[in-house]
Amino acid sequence: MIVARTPLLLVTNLGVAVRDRVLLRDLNFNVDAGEILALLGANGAGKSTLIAAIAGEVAEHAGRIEFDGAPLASHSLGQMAARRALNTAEPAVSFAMPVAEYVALGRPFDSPNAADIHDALEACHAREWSERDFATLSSGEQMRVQLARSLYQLGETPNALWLLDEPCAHLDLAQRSFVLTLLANVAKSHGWAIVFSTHDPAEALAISDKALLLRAGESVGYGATAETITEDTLSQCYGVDVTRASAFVATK
Amino acid sequence: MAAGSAPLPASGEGAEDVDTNVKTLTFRSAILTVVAALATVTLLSLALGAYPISISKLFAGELTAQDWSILTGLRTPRVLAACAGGAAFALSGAALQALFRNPLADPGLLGVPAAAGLGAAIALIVVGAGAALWIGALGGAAIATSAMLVAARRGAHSASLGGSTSTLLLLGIAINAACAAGLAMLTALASEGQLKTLSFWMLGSFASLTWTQVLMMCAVAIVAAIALQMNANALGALALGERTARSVGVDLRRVRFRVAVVTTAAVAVVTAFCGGVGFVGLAAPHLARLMVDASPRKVLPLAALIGALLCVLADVIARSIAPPTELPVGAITAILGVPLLVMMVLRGGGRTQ
Repeated sequence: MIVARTPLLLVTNLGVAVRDRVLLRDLNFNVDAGEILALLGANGAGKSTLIAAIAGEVAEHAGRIEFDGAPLASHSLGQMAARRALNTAEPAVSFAMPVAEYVALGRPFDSPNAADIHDALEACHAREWSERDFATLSSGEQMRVQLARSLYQLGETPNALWLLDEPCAHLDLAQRSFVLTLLANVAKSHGWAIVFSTHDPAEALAISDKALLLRAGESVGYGATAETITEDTLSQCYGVDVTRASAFVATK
Repeated sequence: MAAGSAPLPASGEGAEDVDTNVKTLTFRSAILTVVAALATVTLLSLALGAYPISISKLFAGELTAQDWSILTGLRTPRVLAACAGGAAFALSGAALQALFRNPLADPGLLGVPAAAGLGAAIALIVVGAGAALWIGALGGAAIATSAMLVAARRGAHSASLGGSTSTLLLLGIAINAACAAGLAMLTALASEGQLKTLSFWMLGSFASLTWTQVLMMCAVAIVAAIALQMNANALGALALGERTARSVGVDLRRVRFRVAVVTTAAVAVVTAFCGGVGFVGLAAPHLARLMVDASPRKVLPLAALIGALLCVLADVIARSIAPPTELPVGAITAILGVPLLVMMVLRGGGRTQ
């Protein structure tokens, strides 16, 4: 695995405000190639805004977002598309289209590579849907096809960044475990940095190296997952008392 | 590709009972079908009319001088105008539907035909019929186009991503409403004769155009076809939503600006010369998507051909039903288009998210 001298994604003193409303305040974190960062927080804590900011969608913000040692804005859209994939929470399409064509839109300016599309769908166990209309899939299935689209987009690129907004939101136990395992494997085998948001501390504990806990746009904890996610920080993060108890999880 | 190792049943239930695959013709066979139909209708259009011309004589080269003068002076420009006009409306509709991610979008949505109508009405009442009407229509369309472009540029610089497409849409609605109001006031001032000229122009016609006008329309249609085809991949990626499209490398500002320029310019020229030929911009892309799939790379050229076909057919029907009276083409395209659209919607072909 290649480890860059500066972290792949470096965020310092990030703040985002829309008019007078502060959405994010003074966030500091970094993610290196091969690492997974989980963003935790209650609804409205700023997880999606943070993902949008890292994706370069927020033009005006305080602080710095650096990708691969240079400010995010200095990378062109094309350069970023080759090295950064984004999975949104609602992967809706506006027209009927076969799943294979949906995946091909990961690289819209290249002629579709059937073998790579096949591999990407295979990796997400979604190959037999390739002729189906994307819109007829269940939301969990759509999520997996969206993962395939991002795998196809980034291909074998090393040092890529994959941003996922609530990748497990609509998934049942089995699918959730599948997606988490996929993310963990891809981060290791490809050396990608992965940032994903979730409501569920269990998902962070399962695969992430680091966790960032948000409350009302501010950090209430950041660091190695096991040390950061405690009863204490979770209570702060969600504003309710949290105690650790046993829970059901899907295992291999 | 690294595969997740967790076991997972891959296919959802019910996949076999319901046919959920996207049914399509191959692109080539769809194009060939439409081209064949267009050729047939074009021949019909050349032959039929108050003065019939025999097709067999045309192929044998045994036409009289009078046949030739009717063919080159009246019918050919008419067919070409219908082809160019239909193609321009269909291309604009297809591109706008992809841009707005909405199958209901059509050139009228941006207010350009309405503005052309208002411009024509003002010219007609202030100056009189004839060239003034076209110049007025072009002027009105140009003003609407500029307003649209200012909005597109403004949207391009705003920080928010999603806002600017709805800005365009809202501006289009505003222009439409303002033009309708202006037109309503003018009709009160217009004389009986002016009203008749105006209402006939607004319903559309491909008749009595000069070769210069026809060639302008053809040039505009060809430029629009090439320019939109060059942006087809970006438009295709927009099906993913604006955020995701941007993340795979689509420059939204650029696409939005280019599509706004090309479609409004094309619609402006065609509307100025032929009036409001409705429904083609909405129906042709729909039919194209039903024949192939939603990928703009295929939909744009196919919709252009279907638009041309619809307009040439409508023109033939318009002058064959009650000769020598010519029915308004815009009414015929709507009459052809409405049942098609209803059929498609009932079949579920117009389905969107």
